[in-house]
Amino acid sequence: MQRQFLVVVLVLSLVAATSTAVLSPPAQAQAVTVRMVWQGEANEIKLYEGLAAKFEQAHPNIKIKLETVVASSDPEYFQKVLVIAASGDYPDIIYGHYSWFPVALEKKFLMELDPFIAKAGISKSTFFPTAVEQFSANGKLYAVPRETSAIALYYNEDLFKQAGLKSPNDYFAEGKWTWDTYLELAKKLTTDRGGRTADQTGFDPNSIVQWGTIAPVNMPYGLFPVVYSYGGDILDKTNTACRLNQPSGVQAIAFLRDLVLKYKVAVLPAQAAQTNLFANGKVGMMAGGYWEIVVTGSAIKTFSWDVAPLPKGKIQATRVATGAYAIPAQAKHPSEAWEVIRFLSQRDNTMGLARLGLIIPALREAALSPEFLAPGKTPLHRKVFVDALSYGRLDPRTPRWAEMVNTIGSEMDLVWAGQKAPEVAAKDACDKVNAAIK
Amino acid sequence: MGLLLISPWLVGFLAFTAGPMVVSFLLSLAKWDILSPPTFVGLSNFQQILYDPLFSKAVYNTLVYTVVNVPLSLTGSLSLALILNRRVPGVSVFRTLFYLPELTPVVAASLIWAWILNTHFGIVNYFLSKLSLPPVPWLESTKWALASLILINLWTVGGSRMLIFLAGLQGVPEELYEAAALDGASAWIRLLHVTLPMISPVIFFNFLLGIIGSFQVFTPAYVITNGGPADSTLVYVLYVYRNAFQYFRMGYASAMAWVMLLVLLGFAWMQLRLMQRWVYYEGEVRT
Repeated sequence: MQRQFLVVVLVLSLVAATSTAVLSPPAQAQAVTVRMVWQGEANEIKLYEGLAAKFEQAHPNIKIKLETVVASSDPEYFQKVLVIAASGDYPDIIYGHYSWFPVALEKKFLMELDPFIAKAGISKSTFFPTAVEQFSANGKLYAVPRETSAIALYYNEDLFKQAGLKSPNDYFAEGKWTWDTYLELAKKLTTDRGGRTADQTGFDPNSIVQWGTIAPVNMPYGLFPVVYSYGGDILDKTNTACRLNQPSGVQAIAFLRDLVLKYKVAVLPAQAAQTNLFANGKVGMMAGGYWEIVVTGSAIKTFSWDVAPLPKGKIQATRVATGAYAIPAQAKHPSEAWEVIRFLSQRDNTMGLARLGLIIPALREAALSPEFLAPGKTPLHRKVFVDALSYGRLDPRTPRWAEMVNTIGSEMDLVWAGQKAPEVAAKDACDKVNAAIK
Repeated sequence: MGLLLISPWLVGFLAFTAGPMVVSFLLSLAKWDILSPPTFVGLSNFQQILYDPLFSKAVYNTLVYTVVNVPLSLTGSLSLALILNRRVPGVSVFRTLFYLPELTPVVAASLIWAWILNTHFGIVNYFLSKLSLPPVPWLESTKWALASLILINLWTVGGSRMLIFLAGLQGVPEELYEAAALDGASAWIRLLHVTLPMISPVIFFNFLLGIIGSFQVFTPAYVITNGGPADSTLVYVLYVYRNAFQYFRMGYASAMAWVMLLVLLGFAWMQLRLMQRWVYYEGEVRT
């Protein structure tokens, strides 16, 4: 009895499944559907759905299908996009951060956009030059930059005031904002349970309750900017040989090690992230990208905070990274896809995204507009992010990016743990990286 | 009729297990970066495995994890099952409580554990500091990270393995204990000579599953430490994952997966052979 019942249910559900498939209405014949693979959080999705509706109204023959990929990290996002592409079911537009671009370039996966740009009469110089450069090869542009970001230094203004210290922006204005100054400030901002600071005798590093800084050692956006500012490189100009083991790179690594192990003024990022240490007012300074304004800033309720440029080593430097819209070489509707990209890249539409707070528009007039720079709004010095675009550097371009980052990261872990000297770890990292990228 | 009834499982098996296995075997003989078509390279992926230092590191980590974790969690769940097998009021409440960790999603539990073991704010180090002990960098030191993952895994000892033990224990006939007690056997002797032989098939089953599970450990190593620090928690499956989905060496990753399958099959075969020495099935007579 029961068994028969189960069979009936099974058969019925099969019938139901097939009939809905058969009976569903055929797609409209003329309209072209542009599929866009991208990622975004709830507010961004809402915004893009609105933009898509607006676009479809103006272009009745083009429909936009947003395929939002949920991923917790860039490599994971790229992996999912690749799997979609590998199935042969190419989307028409792919939004992505730069880290996937070298692989896409190597595999000739993307379409050259110069003909479209020329036809539309758009000048590449309307975008920040680093943003264009990041998605160009041999003078050809392969993606239209949407947003760009630089690493700057967040700081807890209240902690600075309590300690009677001048702010990083004051030091910057005086031209004295160096990593050495940063270290001295970090010492004065690190306190133990007994209220002693790290530069006082009797300071107990085992009972620290407040840290001067979060060690900028995250891979890659913590370590790389420091290496750049010490005048070092990760790879050489042709991206074929590791240069981290050169004296300037080793110097940067040694500085970071001393922050953690010698002066004990820096907490490792993994521990700080778990407890949202900066937002909880337990850290004086933290290097981070523009996105932290929303990610961390929105969690800050009890103190005032601001941003300043990264300290200077040999040179004033930081790291710049870009996100952009691209069209796969095998896209079914490239010219319609271009229309969509062009629409999304218009000043008003890109500003809509910027208003959500997560991105700096790659379009210069948008990023330099008073609306974006929002004078009087926390963080007061948000312009440092835009200024940083002029001296910021791009990461080396290698299709073995993920492997390179993991390899360097593993060696650096040993340095922060005090198990390997900076020059040895840098050399070992370079040997392995050279083997991987050759 | 029977075939129809198991068809959902059968279709699932063919589409999601057997099919991918065949494909991955073919890929293990090829080079494939997902974007360009695969090219046949013979056994060179397997050859490359021999010279890959990270491969040996991953094997080493996985072996350490297995060798420490399996006996610990096995004795843990068995002891727990023995305790929860008593007829005391409220025992079902305790059984439920001990089973609860199994119901927590591994990722959520992993994140909570990362908190608990946080060097500066974790509750474990807080208690250590009360005992005037220095903080232990549970997850940041190459000495502790793997051990911490094993510790974290122990929190599910009350889970399904304990349940299987419990079921086995309840299948041991009461009269055997009675007879042994009449002969003057102490509780310890009864455990050694009645309980353990009687539930030996269950022990064997859990042992085998424990080994397979330990070889396949992935989630905590991915979520909590991401293989670090300095690859000290880079376990086998995590390295397969990285090769496949981060470095786009599908062929190499497939070859690694097949090496693991062969090793596990070898283990299972060895166990089945050894089993005849210490596993007793009901009504079986050994001379």
